[in-house]
Amino acid sequence: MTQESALVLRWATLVLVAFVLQIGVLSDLRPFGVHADLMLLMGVCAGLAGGPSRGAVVGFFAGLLADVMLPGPLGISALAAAVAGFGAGAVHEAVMSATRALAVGIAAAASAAGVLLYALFAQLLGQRSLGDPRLVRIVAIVAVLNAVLSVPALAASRWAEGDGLRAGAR
Amino acid sequence: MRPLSPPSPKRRRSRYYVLLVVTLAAITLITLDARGVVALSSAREGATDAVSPVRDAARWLTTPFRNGWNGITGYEDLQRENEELRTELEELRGRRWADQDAAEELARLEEQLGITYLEGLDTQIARVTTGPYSNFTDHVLQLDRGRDSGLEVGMPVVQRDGLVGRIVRVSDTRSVVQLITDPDLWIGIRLSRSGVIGKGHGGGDGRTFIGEVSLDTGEPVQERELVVTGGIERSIMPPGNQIPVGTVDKVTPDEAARVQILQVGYSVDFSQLDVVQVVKWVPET
Repeated sequence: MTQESALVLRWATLVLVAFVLQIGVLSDLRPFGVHADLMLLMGVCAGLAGGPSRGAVVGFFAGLLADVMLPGPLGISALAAAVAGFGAGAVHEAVMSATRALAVGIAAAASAAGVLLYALFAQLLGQRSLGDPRLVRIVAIVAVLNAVLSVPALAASRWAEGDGLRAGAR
Repeated sequence: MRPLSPPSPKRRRSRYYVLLVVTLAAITLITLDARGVVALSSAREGATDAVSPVRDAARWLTTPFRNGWNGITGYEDLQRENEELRTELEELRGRRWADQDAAEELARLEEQLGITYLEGLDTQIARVTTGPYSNFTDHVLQLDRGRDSGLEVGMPVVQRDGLVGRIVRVSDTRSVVQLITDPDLWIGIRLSRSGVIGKGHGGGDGRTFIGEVSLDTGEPVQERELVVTGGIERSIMPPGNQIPVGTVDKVTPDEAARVQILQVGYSVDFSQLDVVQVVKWVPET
């Protein structure tokens, strides 16, 4: 197996596991009525672990899986997660520092941005997400929950990148 | 994480190409889906069917964990509910002898109401499998029945208390219902006492439906009047079968538009939906 195909296989496995966790567990765990968005987080963590391009590609496919279960047009979550993943990777590279706290902070900010992007795209396509009275609460809670989940998700992302679970954590 | 180093100009360019390709792919998907391309909707339906057993298995495996979580986070709700139930029980005990046949009468009434609403119609019982997956209020839910059970897009979904919504997407084993709480779902309505017809849409929450009837009917709408499905335009139910939508809470005349705006309290409790019936009838449009 080539390095590239092994990389694709590991990321595919990780995204599928995240998807099962999202629909089987996380969707029902709703503190203050909001659940974590693990599919968005996969794109963000891919960006942090593998760079902006990886974040965009993994975010696209993770978001696409999420779209299957959502009522809106196919592709909205994919676009939001891809842009958030790319942005997270680009910011992480630009900061030129790789502390775990910084990565968690970027994951929280990128998750908040991803939710806002989803709301914006959905609004442009006729839904009422931006006008949702709970928008601020949704953005804040997803950011906090995803920040917490980003610690194991980043470790898993490093494994998918072939860096090993403990690499780069300092 | 990998040691960070400034990306070369070539690498920087290539990653923007990746973002461009991914963005174009997403926009293409959104466009095709919005245009209702059959191949895409079939793929989506297939994926929904394929995912359903996985989701059911995952939910079954994690039931103890989810129950534990709900026990922790719902403790205050449970406590309040317990208090309410205790109060209700005391009231019922007090009225037991005066209303000894109330339960039997209520059961008979419900039976008759059920027969009236769905008289002569073929229906399919279905169970609500999940609520929305999105954090945003999307006014949909999923049923555990689909095309294999004869369900089609447009079929109304009801519950003993009244109208729930209509099917907007169907796969072989699952279907998605748009709830009448959705502000984008307009339906024909009729006032049961006066017979005045109008139209209405969801108010965006699970409490209030917004109805509109003409001011020129000469018949003032009264509060607590029952609103049922009906009318000619946007009729969601077969003619002759009127399903309760709710009761009028407030009437506000709009002289400029020559309509009376009705705030209608839903007859269905959307937070308690479990088993519903799908009426096997599709509107003409």
